[in-house]
Amino acid sequence: MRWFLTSARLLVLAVYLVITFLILMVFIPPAMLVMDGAPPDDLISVGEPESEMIGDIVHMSVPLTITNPTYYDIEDLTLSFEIRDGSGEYITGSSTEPVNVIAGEENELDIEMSLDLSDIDITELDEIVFEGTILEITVGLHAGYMLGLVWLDVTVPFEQEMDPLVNDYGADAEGATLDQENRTFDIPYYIDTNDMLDGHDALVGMRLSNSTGIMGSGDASMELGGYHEGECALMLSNESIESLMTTEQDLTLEMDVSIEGASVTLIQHYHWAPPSDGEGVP
Amino acid sequence: MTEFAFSHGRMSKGIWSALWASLKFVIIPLALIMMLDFALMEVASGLGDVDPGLEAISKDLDTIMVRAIILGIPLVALAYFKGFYPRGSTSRLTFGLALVAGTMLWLWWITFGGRLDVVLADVGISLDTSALLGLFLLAIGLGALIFLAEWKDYRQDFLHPPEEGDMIDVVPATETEVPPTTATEELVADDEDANNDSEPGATDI
Repeated sequence: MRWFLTSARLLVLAVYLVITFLILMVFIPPAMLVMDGAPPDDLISVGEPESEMIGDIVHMSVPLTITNPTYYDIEDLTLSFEIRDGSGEYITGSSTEPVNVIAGEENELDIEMSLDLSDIDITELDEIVFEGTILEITVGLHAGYMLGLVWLDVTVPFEQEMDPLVNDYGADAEGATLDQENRTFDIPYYIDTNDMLDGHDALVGMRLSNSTGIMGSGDASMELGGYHEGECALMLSNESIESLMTTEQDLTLEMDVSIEGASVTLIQHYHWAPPSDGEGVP
Repeated sequence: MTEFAFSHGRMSKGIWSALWASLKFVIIPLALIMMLDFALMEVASGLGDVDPGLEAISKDLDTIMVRAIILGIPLVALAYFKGFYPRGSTSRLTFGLALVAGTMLWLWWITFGGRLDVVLADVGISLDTSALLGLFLLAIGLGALIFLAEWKDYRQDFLHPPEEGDMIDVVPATETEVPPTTATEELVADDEDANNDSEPGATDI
């Protein structure tokens, strides 16, 4: 009897049998599913996504029920997403904590993701909030299978046109009134925002200047909620009031709008004519 | 180096070994790849616009085909010499071990190290099977043990082939038509068939 040779052959045969067994275990359960005619809908069900914003961080969660009918756990299942603007500049991204989908069981998973708005580059944020953008979103899936012998990464890119969060905003410089008593120049403004910004604070700042320099400034804060109108009172010096009361001149109004760290400046030039008696005073 | 002398080997066994290797390393892989490529092209023509991802897969298949040939042919040559030399000889062990190493390299090379990266209809799919490939490489590598064990078990038979007199002890003259039943008897029968001379190491099994 050739003992060494027989032993070596048995050892190699055993290794090949183990590998064959491992691979067969992958194909048997799907084959059985096909024979049973179980529809794939039964395997995954997606619940209602939930999201909330705490500070600058948006928390999103999607409840998933996944039935893993195979003999192997799906290991370290991770979902991720990455957002770039239309020019390919990275905006932000996030990924879920790795979870295991246990074999032969119905798994209740809560896929959670957090998006820190403070991570977003401020210029990108300004564009998103005030101009809207085309987002290039890449959703990724990463998972291991077959005792970690096989790892799969899938990335699905798609484009999403995003409307601006601020639909419209502006100041009615022509409708400004001069309040001599309070030494203020009251300029009406309006801001119309998407309901995603409901409840968030906004700050409107204004500066009025003429050819000689800044005449006065002021600001107003508000809680957003759809269409909002208000007046911003600019504090003026005596000389500025005197100038406005007596001199026809070209004025420049700069209006800054700041929402959750994003800001935009609107510049308006207009011609000012001094009010006749009584006008401009509430 | 005397064990590498051609006089020790038997060409017919080398040819059989080479044929089997050419089937394993060249013909069957090429046939499978061509079938897959054909199926892929059928799918692509059915879709109308050929997805760049399908074209990339087709190119990868061509690469695999070229690699299978480039490394397959030397493997066939190694397999020839592995079969050519008799068991127990260092020459067979050497070519056997080289064949094992070459097979591992061949598998690793044609599978791109177990990594598959494709982009189909903008969906990127990356499959890392390097750990599974590692298991296969382990199994192939264990083939080296077979050659070592074979060398160990057949070494004495190779170095000291049975003499003429041993044949009389084992096979009675009246039973010469009975097929050999033991390895030693096989050796003797092979020697008889091949009309080998008594040179040590000329025995093949």
